[in-house]
Amino acid sequence: MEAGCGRASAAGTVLCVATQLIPDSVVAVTMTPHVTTIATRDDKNRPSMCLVGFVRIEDDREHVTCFVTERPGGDTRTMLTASRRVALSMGNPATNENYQLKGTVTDLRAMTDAERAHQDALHSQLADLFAMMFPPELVAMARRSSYRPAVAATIRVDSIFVQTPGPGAGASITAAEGAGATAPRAAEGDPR
Amino acid sequence: MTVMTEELKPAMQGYIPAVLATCSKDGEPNATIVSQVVWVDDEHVALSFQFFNKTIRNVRENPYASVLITHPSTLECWSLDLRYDHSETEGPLFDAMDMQLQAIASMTGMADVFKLKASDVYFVEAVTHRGRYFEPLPEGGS
Repeated sequence: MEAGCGRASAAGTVLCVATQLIPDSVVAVTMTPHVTTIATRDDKNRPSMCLVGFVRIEDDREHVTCFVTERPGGDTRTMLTASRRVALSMGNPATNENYQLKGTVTDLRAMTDAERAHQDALHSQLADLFAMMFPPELVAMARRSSYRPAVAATIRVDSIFVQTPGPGAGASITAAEGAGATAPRAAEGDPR
Repeated sequence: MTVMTEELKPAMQGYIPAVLATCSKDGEPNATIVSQVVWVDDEHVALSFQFFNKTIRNVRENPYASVLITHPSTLECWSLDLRYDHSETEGPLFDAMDMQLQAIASMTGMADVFKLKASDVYFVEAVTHRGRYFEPLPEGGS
């Protein structure tokens, strides 16, 4: 929320909801066990991809923190910092509600204990969901494992799109646009 | 040059959705789920082109893509580095993918939504093993 929003005044509480970039529908998906991947690219515009063990929307509704898996076959930190431009595809596998968030990586760091606990809670819920979709052996494997090792990446989001299959797919839903605020910004340092 | 091996085939059954990364010529990455990754031969795969217009626009101006596939039993993942080759809108490959897509659509309640526009054929430049979707927890905790 913008500075000053929510404060009390003689006329009542100042509401600044329209300035929030990330809409409630996207926040809601991150509160459920969601499946996420992150795409980035190198200096020759060749794309690459990593799995993400959940996304957390920050209070300013402009930044997200996502926990990007570190796996063999590619250095996650190098991939995320090569251009810093990323696209997160994020959805609820039970409902097929899906969104794409585009933005710029602003920080990489180790996960905190609180973030690991948050990740474990969502992972447990995801395994429960898998129990309705996949064979018991696979569900058991999911319960005995985790998305870690992973790195916490902070991303400044500048545009959001619907990816739920159907006629609305591809539509921009950046909340500030709908409120008549500024259009999505080109991120700092982004050559597009 | 053969880059794909038989062990990849189960990961292309569509049991666990694949994810595709592309990039515009201006350097904007894009990520999307793809319903089908079909083995064409040892060096080519075909992806279903339904409605992901940004992806199609990207690969027409920058032919490189990367798709992540997952084995449904072991949760092993591979990334395939792809280069767009051509599209087919009729013939045996298109018909087979259209039939499979209708089956997927029916199972997922998307029969009115999924419609195959083309089978996009990509050359597979490299295959990289990316470990497992979830890694086993170490003994005694996380």
